[in-house]
Amino acid sequence: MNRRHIRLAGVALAMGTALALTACSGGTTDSGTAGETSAATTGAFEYTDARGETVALDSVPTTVVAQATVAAALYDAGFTVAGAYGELVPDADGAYSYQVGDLPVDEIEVIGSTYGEFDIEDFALLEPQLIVDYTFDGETLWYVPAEQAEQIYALAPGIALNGSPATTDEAIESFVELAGLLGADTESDELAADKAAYDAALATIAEVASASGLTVAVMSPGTDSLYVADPAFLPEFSTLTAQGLDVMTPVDPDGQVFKQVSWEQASDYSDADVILVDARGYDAVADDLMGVPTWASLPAVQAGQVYNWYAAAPYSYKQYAQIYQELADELANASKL
Amino acid sequence: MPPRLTARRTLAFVSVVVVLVIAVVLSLMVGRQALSPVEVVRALIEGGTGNTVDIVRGLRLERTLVALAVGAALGAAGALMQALTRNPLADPGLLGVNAGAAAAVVTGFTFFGITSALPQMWLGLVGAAVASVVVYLVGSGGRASAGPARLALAGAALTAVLFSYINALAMSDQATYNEVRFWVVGSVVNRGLDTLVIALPFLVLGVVLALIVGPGLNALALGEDSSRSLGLGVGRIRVLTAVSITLLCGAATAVAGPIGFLGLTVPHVARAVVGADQRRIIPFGMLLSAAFLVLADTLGRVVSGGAEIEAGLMTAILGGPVFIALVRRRRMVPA
Repeated sequence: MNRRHIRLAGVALAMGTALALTACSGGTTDSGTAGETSAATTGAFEYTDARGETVALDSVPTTVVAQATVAAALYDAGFTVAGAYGELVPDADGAYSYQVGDLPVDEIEVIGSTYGEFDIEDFALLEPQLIVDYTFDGETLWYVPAEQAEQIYALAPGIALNGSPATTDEAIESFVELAGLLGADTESDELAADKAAYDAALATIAEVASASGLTVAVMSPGTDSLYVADPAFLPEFSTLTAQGLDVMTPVDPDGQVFKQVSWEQASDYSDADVILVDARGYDAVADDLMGVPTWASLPAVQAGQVYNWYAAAPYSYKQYAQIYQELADELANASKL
Repeated sequence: MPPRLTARRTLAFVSVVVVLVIAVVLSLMVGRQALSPVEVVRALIEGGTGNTVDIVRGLRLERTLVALAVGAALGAAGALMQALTRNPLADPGLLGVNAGAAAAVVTGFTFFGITSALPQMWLGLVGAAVASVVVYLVGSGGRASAGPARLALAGAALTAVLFSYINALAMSDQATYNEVRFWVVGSVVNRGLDTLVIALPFLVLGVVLALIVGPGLNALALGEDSSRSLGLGVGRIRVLTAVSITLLCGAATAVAGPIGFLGLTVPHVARAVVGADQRRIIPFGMLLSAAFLVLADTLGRVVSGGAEIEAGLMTAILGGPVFIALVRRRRMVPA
């Protein structure tokens, strides 16, 4: 049996299922939704992912499980996953990390709530048709535990989005494209409004950057060492640099996202008017950092111009419109030192 | 005592003090930021503000002081532990002190969100104390007295239990995992002088106790029966020694995290140099250990092309080969 036969058989099966579903539903569902769903489920699904691997399915998958940040980006692009795994431990107030954006965590199945956690039974019970994650090494899916990978892919094929895209525009568009293939309405007014807000925020940053000439450094400070991020490896800073924002490159860069330096070398970054700190860990060390003299003496720290960098936020127009707008406001209020 | 032996031992003490002074000077002079000796001395004497002063007074002087205190404490604790257990392979962490400190800090972080250095140090101290009391109670339960072997076994068991607990918490979420990493490799960078000041009374008390129990430990080395026949309170010496180890180790670990190999290796060197008398091993071990940790920390700043290497890692890198060489060179010096 060749591929063509398999596909034909699949289409036949899908049509049969669709007919059966229609028969069962008894015509009581909202006609708009039903129309969309049937339109989405009739065609075949084919996607070549960031690793160059192609997943071909006979129908568009409706039960999708994704890494939580990926799921949040798809959600903003109009597609809701059935289950997610990722950083899904709520804080003391019950709020989730910005890394999962607006993902309606309480309405979906949580398969794993931290790195290395993946409940394969819950996953199987969902009867997933597709699993979506980032890839950073071009080979593996980021949050899929290696030791469970074989079992997981036996239940559903995996596709990977590029974890290190060049710009946020590119990253967001890749999510919009995938959401569209999964049946989301990517022409919605909501998405258009989010994109307009995103473009407007970037335009504001461009204005502020050229008017103020501010220099920005991106850091993840710890008490033992200072980690300086290289903007060349971060899509949001490639995007911001293209808008004319002056983002410092680590002195003597080593080709890594973060250059780890001694606190003795902190003064190499005293030209920074604004320091953006990794929001994933800054709150925990903020107090202790004030006891590090070479941190406390940095001009940007003295001027109180230290703001959050929302590292690893979901790539969506909605999230980045907020992130860039917050940054635009902060930069507008910061002064050149 | 033969005069030649006395002269040799005096020379040994003078030498270790000289090494210590050299270590401190190097620690102030050497770092990732190249500063001339003149700049360093000026920053030390004149003070003021500016980048050089931040580095010399803020970073280098502080980490030197922390390394001195932590090093001395671990050297003394190691000597005490090896004498107490009469086991030359005993590590000061054997009473479960390090594990207790780590478990308390990680608990505080996970369930109460305690992240700043000062309360964490208090937690570490309390955890160390509770762990050593538990070990002592477990080790002395039943009919027999708390013999060295029983204490060591109870300590090893509690350490295993506590580290399983810590790992379980670390696996539960990313933030705790990050916090736990500090408890894998110790460091003396930016620990904060206020933290050291709080730890200091515990360290001083621990050292005083260590010096007091020294002669008693000498007698204990003759065997339990011999020392009893000499009229010494074996139990009292053991308890005081355990208290001293807990104070020294607990405070040192609370300040810097776990620093390995120091308490294991240095007492061996000390015994090889100054003989088997605890009254000499303890002070000599303190001086040598302090110098060793300061040097390890200084070397860790410049040895790699990339980031600094933590003092806790450097002591293992440097101490491991020294330890193996000692073991291979001669019959293990009896503790």
